[in-house]
Amino acid sequence: MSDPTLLVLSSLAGGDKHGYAMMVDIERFAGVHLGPGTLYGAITRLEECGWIRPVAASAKDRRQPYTITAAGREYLHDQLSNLDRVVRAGQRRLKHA
Amino acid sequence: MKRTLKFLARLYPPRWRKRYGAELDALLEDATPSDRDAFDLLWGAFKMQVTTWSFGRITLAGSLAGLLVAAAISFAVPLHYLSQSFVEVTAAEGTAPQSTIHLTGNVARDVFSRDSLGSIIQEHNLYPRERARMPLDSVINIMRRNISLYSLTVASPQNPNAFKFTVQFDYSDPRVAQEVNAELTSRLIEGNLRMRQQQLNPGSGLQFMVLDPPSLPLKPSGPNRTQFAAVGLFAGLLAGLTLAIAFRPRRTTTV
Repeated sequence: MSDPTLLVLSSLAGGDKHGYAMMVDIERFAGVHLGPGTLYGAITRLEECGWIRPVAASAKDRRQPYTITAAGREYLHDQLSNLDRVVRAGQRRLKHA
Repeated sequence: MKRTLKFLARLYPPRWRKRYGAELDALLEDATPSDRDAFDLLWGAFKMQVTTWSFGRITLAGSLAGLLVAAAISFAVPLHYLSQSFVEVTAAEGTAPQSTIHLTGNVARDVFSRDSLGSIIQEHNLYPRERARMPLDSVINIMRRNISLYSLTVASPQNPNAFKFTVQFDYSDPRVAQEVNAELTSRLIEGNLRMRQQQLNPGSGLQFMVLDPPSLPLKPSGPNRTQFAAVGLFAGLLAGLTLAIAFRPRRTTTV
């Protein structure tokens, strides 16, 4: 899976994170390196859609943490269910091949 | 590398930077950037800029970019020069015009054969760069594409047994173009003489006469920069329209 939108939502489903923390987390759980341009492109789109939102950070820290919204969780759930169906169908067919 | 990335981050639209600029800068300070990240950031800035542009602006920018790329390519392509000579061919009386053309074609086939062109390439040291990286047969094919033999007039009313044709050779050096064209023209004449000697009745053959010797081209025949610009503009317009259509929905919806 290399869709930056799903990767960012999956990362935030595990807890609030700022950009760099998301980058490290995604690299760890998915083995995908999201470049800064791709990551912030996804963050911009997700915030526009209302699926993530910024949370308060300390005034001194320029790093902005984000959290996943209820709509974001629902969207992620739907997408992962679809993916799961595809994965299970693929595995079943591989067994019978 | 970090300095480069910070510079690239400045390429994002001001409104976007006002909202995300500080946190993107913080991320760039934390991360260990690579060349791939620099390209990713540049592409991200480009996409973000394009999403803020109007349909017309994207199309215009695409067209201008196409025009600039085409202009750059047209200036990078080496100039080439066309030398041409005019030859009159006269057949013996009673020879049908089509037969004259057929006989001339036979002479030309002999002159433009692999061996003949191969020897001209060697003698005049033509296409040195191409010869360094491809077999001689491929270089000969390139030379064939640079030679043209055009029939100008067939059986004029004044002299129904004669017609004119032009020999053209296109090359990157005007003087070499002229020398090689002279060689091709003289080989055509020699080839015709050889063919006449081999015939039972030499009087029935063709007579070649050079009307205009191979010219020394003063102006390049190509590349045609206007044509390049037109193609570039059209390709850029298409690319701009594609980008405008691809990026337009992102301003209102999407993921």
